[in-house]
Amino acid sequence: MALLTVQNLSAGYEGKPVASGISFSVSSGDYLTIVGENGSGKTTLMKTVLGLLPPVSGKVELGDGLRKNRIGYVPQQTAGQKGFPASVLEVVLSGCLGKSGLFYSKKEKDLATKQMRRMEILPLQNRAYRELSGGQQKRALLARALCAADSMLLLDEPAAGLDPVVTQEMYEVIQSLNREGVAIVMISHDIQAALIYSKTILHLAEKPLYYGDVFGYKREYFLEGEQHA
Amino acid sequence: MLETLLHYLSFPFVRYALIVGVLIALCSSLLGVVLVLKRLSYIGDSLSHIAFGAMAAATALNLSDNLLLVLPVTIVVSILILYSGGRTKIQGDAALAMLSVGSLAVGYMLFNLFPPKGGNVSGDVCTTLFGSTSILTLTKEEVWLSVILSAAVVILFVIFYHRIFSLTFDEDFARATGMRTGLYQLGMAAVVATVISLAMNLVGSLLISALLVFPALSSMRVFHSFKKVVICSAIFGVSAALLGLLVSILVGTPVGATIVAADMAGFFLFGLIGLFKKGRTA
Amino acid sequence: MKKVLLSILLVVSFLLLTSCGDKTEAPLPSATLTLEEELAMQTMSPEFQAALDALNQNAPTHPPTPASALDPSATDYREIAPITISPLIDWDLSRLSTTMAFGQLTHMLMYPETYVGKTVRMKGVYRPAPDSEGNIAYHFIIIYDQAACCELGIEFATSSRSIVFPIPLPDAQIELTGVFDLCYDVGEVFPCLRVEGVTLL
Repeated sequence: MALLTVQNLSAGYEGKPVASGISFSVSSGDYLTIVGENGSGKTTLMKTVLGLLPPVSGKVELGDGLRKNRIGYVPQQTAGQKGFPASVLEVVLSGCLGKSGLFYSKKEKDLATKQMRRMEILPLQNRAYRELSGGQQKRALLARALCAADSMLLLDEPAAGLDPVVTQEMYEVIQSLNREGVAIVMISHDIQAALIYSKTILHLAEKPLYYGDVFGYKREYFLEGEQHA
Repeated sequence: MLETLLHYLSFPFVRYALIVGVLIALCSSLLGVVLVLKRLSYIGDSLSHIAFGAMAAATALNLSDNLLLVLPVTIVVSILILYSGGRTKIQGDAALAMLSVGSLAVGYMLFNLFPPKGGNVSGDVCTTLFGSTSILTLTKEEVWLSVILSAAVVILFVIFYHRIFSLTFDEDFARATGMRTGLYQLGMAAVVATVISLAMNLVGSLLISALLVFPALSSMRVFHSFKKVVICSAIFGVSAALLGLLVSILVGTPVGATIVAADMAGFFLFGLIGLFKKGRTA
Repeated sequence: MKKVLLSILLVVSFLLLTSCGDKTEAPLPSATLTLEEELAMQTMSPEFQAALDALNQNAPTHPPTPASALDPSATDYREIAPITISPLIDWDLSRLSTTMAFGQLTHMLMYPETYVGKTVRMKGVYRPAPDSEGNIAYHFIIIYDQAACCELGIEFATSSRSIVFPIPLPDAQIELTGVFDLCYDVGEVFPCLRVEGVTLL
């Protein structure tokens, strides 16, 4: 049973599709990278899948008892967030809001501690979020997303703004999560990384140019030595 | 000095002024944290100009209580700004500027065309814009209204504290994890409008932004967790209002401007503390 | 946003077109008959006379309104029984800061009933007001708020027109010590200060 099924989806704003004809499914342990040029509709697609935008047409189905607040979302950071006065613990705990009542109970606090330990940022929990490095901030956001749901993560350009070493670390963290069984759906510019880490690729350019496993993608796009970014 | 102060405190209107001043400053500081972090610091200014226009209209219509017109108008405009602010930010910016300045001008014209009873046009305009002495001439009903509304705002803020944090920090994430962000934004817009309408009594239209913005900005220079920033803002705002009120009563300076001066002094002080803190950890 | 602006424009034009009215008070019906009416009565038919009598019996009688709260028997607010101003001052506005004095005077003007009979001292600016013939008939003391953008005043008068004090120049600084009173004149009620004289500062 798939965790997420998308059928013939058209995603866009106010009835105007930016990308259409999209179909894919994600099951437990899958690792899908969505690639494409700027403006090809990747972020729009992700927002539609998350329910932030209504689909122009088509269907988004969450299966396997996965309700909306069981998808972990790691959005791109805004400038405002980078300078936001909050402790790491406060940021991570906010991921538990879907499960908590008005105030956080011990259960949620324990969950937050567990995810922070997983992301190796537990010693930073009382530090100011805005004083962390880019990589540490991303880990905090990952921990937050894991608090919300740890069966599937949606990441929007997780390596954006990170230097190469930290980018590598980020991908390895994500892969270790995938090995633990977390389904990953990621938007990325980085084709090379997608080829290395991902299991399936969706190449979007207003319409899906390719959807399938990585080897097929390599064959189709790289055999002739050409690169379709 | 202390004797004079105690003597002044025996006057009922001074006690009313202190109570209302402190409560309104408290609400404004709390809301100000959210507004500043959402890059909506200008809201206080714009909404207060619109409230000024509404107040002029209420005077022109000879309404018994200004708030009957001012409150609904301000709430409606506030909802329009805050609710669609995220999506149409650029357009909203310019339209808001036009609306704000237009209200100010039309309001002033209305005051001149339909002067308030007593004929003191410049006085009333001055009072509404700068809050000259309206805080010292509150009726008991106004005091009770302020008390109830302020208590409601504080209670709501405490109850929805974590949701407010999530909404302010990352609206998209909050919505993706199932929070009904639209509803909370509507509520916040209504509350902000209400506080601004009440705060006009304290500092007048032109200085409301100070009540909203200075406490938050000052706290953020020194503290780094949301909880500490919120608590510090509240204490800062209340202290500045109290200090400003007492000084203006003792010395005879305009109430609104003195409160803002206290805010500014606090801001500089906190700025220095922040620099010192940074210097030490660097 | 366009719709918002249009609707607000409509609302504003609507407001501009509505007239605001000054509320004018209707004159109180007179209970006494004029001379003409009395004369007319003497030449009326008995039936008409009876009807008129019946009407007058049912007409509401108004007790004559007092001219001063301190002296209920007075008929002109500028002629009341002589008062004594006690040396003990209840409200000394002259020693308060401008903010406080302004606030306190506003409170006194908003709730004058609570202050009737209290001794008040205040400092301010003298402002005369003429009557219909142009003679100085009314005297006011004015105080300003801190930014001098608002002003507030109260009329002051002696207990008898026969007491004459040296009239200050307009806008001269004066100090008054007097008793707070509610005065009635030409259907209006207003607070006034009963003084014996004016101190020039």
